[in-house]
Amino acid sequence: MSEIYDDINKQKDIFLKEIKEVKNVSDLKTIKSKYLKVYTKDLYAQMKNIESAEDKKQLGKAINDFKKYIEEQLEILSNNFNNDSSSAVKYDVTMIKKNIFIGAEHPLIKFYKKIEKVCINMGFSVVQGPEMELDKYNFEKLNIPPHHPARDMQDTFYVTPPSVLLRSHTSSVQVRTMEKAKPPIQIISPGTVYRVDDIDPQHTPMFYQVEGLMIGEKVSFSNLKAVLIKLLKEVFGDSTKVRFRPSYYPYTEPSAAIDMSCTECGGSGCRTCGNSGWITVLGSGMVHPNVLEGVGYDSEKYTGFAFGLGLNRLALLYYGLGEIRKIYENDISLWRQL
Amino acid sequence: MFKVSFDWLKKFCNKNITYREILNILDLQGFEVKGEQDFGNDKVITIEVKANRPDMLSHIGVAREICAYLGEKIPEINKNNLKIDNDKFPIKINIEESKVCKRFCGLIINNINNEVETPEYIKDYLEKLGINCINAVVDIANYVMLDLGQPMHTYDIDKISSNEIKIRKSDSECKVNTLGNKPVDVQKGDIVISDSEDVLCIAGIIGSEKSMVQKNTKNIMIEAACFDEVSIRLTSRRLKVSTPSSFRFERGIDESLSADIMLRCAKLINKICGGEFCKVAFDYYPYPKKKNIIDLRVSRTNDLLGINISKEDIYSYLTKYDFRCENINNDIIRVECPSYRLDLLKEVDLIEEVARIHGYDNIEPIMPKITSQYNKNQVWENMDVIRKILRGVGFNEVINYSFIPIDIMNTLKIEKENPLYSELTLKNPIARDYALMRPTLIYSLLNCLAYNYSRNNTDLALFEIGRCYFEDKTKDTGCKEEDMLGMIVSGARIKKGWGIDKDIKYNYYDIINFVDLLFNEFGQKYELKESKYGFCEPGTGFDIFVSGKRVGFIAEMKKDVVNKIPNVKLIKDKIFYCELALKELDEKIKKLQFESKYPMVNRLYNIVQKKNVSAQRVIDIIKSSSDLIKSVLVRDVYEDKKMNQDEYAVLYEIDYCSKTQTLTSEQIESIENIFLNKLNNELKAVIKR
Repeated sequence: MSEIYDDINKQKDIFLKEIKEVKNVSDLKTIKSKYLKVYTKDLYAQMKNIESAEDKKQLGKAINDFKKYIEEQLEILSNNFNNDSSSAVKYDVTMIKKNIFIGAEHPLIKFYKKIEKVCINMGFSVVQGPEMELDKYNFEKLNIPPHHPARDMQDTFYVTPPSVLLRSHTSSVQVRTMEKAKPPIQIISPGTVYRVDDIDPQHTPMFYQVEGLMIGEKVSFSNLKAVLIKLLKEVFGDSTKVRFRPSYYPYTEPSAAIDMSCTECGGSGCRTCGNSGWITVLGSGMVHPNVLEGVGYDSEKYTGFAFGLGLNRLALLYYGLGEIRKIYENDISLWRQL
Repeated sequence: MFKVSFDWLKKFCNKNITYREILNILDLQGFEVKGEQDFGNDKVITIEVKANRPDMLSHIGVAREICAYLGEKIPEINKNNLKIDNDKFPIKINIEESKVCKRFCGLIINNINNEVETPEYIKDYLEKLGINCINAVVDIANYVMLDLGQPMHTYDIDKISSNEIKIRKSDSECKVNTLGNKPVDVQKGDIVISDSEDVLCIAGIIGSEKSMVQKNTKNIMIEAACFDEVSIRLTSRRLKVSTPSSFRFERGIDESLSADIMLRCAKLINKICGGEFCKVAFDYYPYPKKKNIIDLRVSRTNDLLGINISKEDIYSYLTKYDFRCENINNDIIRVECPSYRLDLLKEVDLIEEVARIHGYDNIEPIMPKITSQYNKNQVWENMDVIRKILRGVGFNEVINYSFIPIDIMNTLKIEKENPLYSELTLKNPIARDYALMRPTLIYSLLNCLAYNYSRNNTDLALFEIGRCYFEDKTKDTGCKEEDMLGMIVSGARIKKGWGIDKDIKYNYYDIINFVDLLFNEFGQKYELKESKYGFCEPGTGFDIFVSGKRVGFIAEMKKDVVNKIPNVKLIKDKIFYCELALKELDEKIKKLQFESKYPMVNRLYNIVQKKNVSAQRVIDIIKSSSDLIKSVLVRDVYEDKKMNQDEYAVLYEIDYCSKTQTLTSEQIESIENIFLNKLNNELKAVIKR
């Protein structure tokens, strides 16, 4: 009996010596066959000659342990050979098929969605309105009577002069919304707006704008500041600096122009920001009492703020596009890079 | 825009102020610096003056802001006592109505010598600020305007016929030869200043050649007036003549200072050109300007700005900026605004002043507490769902102009009765190619596809989510707008290589597949019905219907029609298009239809059928033969020479499944027999062996 156990131990030692000589997968196969097939088969054969059930059981266990041991050792060894290039199936992982594409996003939409996400999370709802608009909603109810010099800033396309025009800003949606609903109101109105301009590298007669409006009791200028600082920091990064300057819009009073630190140079001054370190991004202000009264609100009870930003120039900066007109040329090879 | 000389400003302000300080103050106070130019010892700053602050269109105006900011004494214009006698004035001046002209001051200087050179410093300033030098009198008038803000006009009175002038609205049309020999057409209603024969001046805008002051002029009249802003604006815009004078008048000037500034100008002319003043001056000023008094509540100021500043602070802020304040009670300050501030009409305007003086940067940001509800915008959210799906299957998003060529209906053979027809055009388009408000996205996408082909971006799928515009008399604007989805594909969908022998090109069935994908996502049923469009190949135009309503169409473009659009010829492959109105897409809740723990059995059947028998009919028959058929799909369609001309083979894939058992071959065969018999009997369609 004991000879068998001695032999097993001896074979173990020989095995340990032999596996050190294993050089490739073929050697591995040979040694695997020698110990797991031939030798163990021989051992099982010897087991038939043993009569005592107790001894049989004991030997069976010893054989199994031996097998397990060999398998484990070979497993470790074979892991080393898996990296062996001469034997494994070879793939060149630097080959990319590129025969299936995800479609490209338009930079205006991509950029707008960043803004929309922040606004929606702050509780703003998205409202749309007509692009062909009445003078009443685009100008008059925004405190811009006929012949007001502020109309110069927004040279307008007309569909049926003088009453029907292409909206020059999406503030018209704000008026329509206020006429239909009572405060509190918290909306953004994204969309296309139009101003008469020829198409050249830095001008287009159409652009994308998003405006926001928040009306309620005791909504203040300091609220306006907090919301817009939050918006800019979320979109452009936490290190963005924000500056508020007095400005003028007929439909807000007080009005503010909002600058942020230049996205290119971070504020030290470069070509993009005209060496000032600042880029004007937003127009805003407290909604003018004339506008509130015009839609039937009590301007003593309700106050609010409005803001607007044109996306084309910002998207241009953000994505490094050279010319503003390219936004509507849709060269897909450019959009695919974004 | 207004150009300011740094050197000039220093005459009004503290001499030690630095250029940088001035730039900073202007920026902080809301007058954005748009440009800077270097002129040796001097610098010229271009500032943006918004429509509400015409008082900033002079050096004294800019200096007032700077001095107030620094807490220095605000410069003033000296008051003078002119001897006014309108009756004894040598020229008879007749003003039609005060609505047209709020104030008209005139002063005569005789025997001047205008041959003298304009003093160097004046010439220098004018040139730096972009104003042409003409002769001493004209240059001085311009100089004083830039200094103090009042535009002035000078007349050679020897050229005025019958010693009489009228300020009136023109009652007829005439041609006027303005300065620099530029003829313009005066229309009825324009304000003109005329003698008994001719128009001498288009009021507030530009003078005529007739009475202009020249080097040899001896006797002059200086006019300092205030004309109706809207009239000046309309005339200036119509004539396309904008002068420094009209620019100021249309924004408004402080007429209470007109006479004083005129005298200042006269004295300077007198100093340089000599001459004698006429003993009396003319001043038409029927309704002298009233004091502008507004009550300001401290509580309201603090509430609106979200700050907490004291009444005393507000009082001192305003006083510093030339406002006269009076305490009324604990909350109210009565404020008299300076006469040159034309923008202050309401309490809220004063609140802005307080904010401006306090400094916007000194207002602490505080997040609002507001309880408005988020309202879901379904159409808007659907757009994002569509974007995701289409991008996922390889469509690129584009945005095109809303206006398309005016003759595009003709080019694309869209007839009057077609739902895509429109004549909705802009009255002032930038060009004929950007004039029609698009009733369909088809031109936009064709044009965009062609542009990309011209840049060698070939084999493309593009989509646009954009507005289309239609006439609709029931709407307040007379127009209806709809958000549309347009999809266009052409060329290879998958290129050859990697085991694919030939490019797999987009075909008609792909576009149907995309439509199906979208409607499936929204869980909606749709139908396709044959239709006709001038721009599509016969038999390829189908309208899409949802609950009986037409919501769009699909088509294969007819090449000889669409090739008329520039560059479309470059697209050699077939072009497929689909358009869909978005408002009809409405998300339906989808529920699982079937679930079984037994496996699905899958079988393929190659059925030879007549081409005029729709696949849907075959599928309906198959489905009707057993409840155990869970789905029937068209896998392929092909023809070969052995078949009749009017037949083709369609490969159907059928899934069988039962909830109660694993299906056996016998069970499936018996179902097969049912539908194969039916197909044979009803449609003469047989299985291909």
